[in-house]
Amino acid sequence: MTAVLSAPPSIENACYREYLKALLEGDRPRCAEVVQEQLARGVSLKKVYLDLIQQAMYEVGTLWERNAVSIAAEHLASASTELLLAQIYPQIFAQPHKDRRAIIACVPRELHQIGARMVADFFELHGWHSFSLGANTPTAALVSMIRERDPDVVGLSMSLLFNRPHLEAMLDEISREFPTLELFLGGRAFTGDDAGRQAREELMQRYQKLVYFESLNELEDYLTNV
Amino acid sequence: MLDISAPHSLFNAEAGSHPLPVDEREIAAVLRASRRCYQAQPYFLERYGERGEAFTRSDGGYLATLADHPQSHVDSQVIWLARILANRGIPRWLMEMHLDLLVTELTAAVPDRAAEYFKLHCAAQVLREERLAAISQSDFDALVAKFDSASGGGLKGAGALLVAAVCDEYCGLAEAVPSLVGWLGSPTRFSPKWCVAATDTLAQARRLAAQSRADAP
Ligand code: B12
Repeated sequence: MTAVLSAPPSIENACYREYLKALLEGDRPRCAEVVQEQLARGVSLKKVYLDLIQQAMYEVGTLWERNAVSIAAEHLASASTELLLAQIYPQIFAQPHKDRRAIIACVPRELHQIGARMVADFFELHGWHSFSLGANTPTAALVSMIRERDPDVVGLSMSLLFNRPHLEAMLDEISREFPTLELFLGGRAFTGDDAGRQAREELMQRYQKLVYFESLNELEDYLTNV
Repeated sequence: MLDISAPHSLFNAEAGSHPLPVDEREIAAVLRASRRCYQAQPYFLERYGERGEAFTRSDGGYLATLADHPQSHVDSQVIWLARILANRGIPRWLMEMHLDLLVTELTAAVPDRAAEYFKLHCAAQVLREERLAAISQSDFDALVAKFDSASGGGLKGAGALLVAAVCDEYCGLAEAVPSLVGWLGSPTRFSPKWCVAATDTLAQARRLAAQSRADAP
């Protein structure tokens, strides 16, 4: 009974629906209010990220597939989401920091950057210093940033499997230049279907230092145990 | 297989950034397959005009690049694209046709890569099997013939589109029929006789699909 009473609060469906509606309408203030209300209720940041923000973006994608929302609405939702993440960031950054660094980047040509940004925030929340390079990161830029910041981990994000040749070129270069560096991989390209599963297995076999993370849950396990 | 930002005869700005073939023989084959699609199905151009042409070319180019990937990736991308199109008035039966024409044209253009292109045939087969699980080929053909005689003629291939959209609906694509019929069954565009025949064809196809569902193990 006590366990039930003290269970951490979750996002309720009505709240999620309200957030999604505001997101599709472009009502950014309401989206921000919903997020702050949930954090004030004691909902963890991970749940806000996964069960509200990410879930809503996935649903925007499903609605677009069904031709129920326009491309413009999808762009609006992306822009609002990025703004919200920026608003939450100071709360994350307030955590005490340790001497650990992660660089997170999207592979060349990859324009989906919201997931990568969440991952960078999540490192920060666990006391790491994180540097998010965003969409379509050129390999040369990433390599020079690695030299400059000497990170413990480099995380790469890829949403579209057709960007795999660019990912491999990037991994070839990084593994050659920094053979002992820990490399993390994630993103929608590798989740869900057989093609994604097969691709990530092949990549992990080929690059010894590469570890795949399905979601923030696995990353949390790593960050709390490291 | 490369991303293209320079001018490319298959490039379509509206389709965004995605891979397109670079081998001139493949590009020509994709263009031939697109042309054969419009010829077989005047619906494409009647409804979507130049925009439709541009998407058929860029989609054809993207589909051709899939041949370099494992079959699981080809299947998942074909199913994804076919689903998106079906929700926008282009039943998946048209994707089957487009894939078949691509395989024919690509194989004729670059015979050495026949085994790679065959993957597109296998993906078309996945779609075909799903369609036939809803309505058998003989029932499909019979409904089409009936529509052709009841509608008084008009747009070639329309009967098959109606029946195919019902198959997609049976496979869970709720928008397949409304997104097609909003145009193909519109009284502002077609005769009353045509519209009645379209409504009847949909009803009969739905009955057959419902029967398949009831009979499914
Ligand atoms: C928003 C969006 C866009 C925006 C992105 C804007 C931005 N600022 O990021 C824009 C408009 C640019 C866009 C463009 C395109 N998109 Co888009 N897009 C989406 C959408 C709706 C949401 C993506 C998102 O924000 N997800 C939320 C984040 C939080 O989730 P996530 O990325 O999965 O990340 C999480 C995990 O994967 C993991 N993770 C991710 N990276 C990493 C890295 C590491 C190291 C770790 C540990 C973990 C990790 O942790 C994250 C947090 O939990 C998706 C739908 C979907 N289902 O994903 C489609 C989707 C991905 N897009 C799609 C497509 C087709 C495109 C375009 C090709 C469309 C076009 N024709 O132009 C272009 C391609 C652009 C390119 N070359 O990259 C398709 C892809 C389908 C396919 N073929 O496989 C989807 C699935 C839409 C659909 N339903 O069909 N898109």
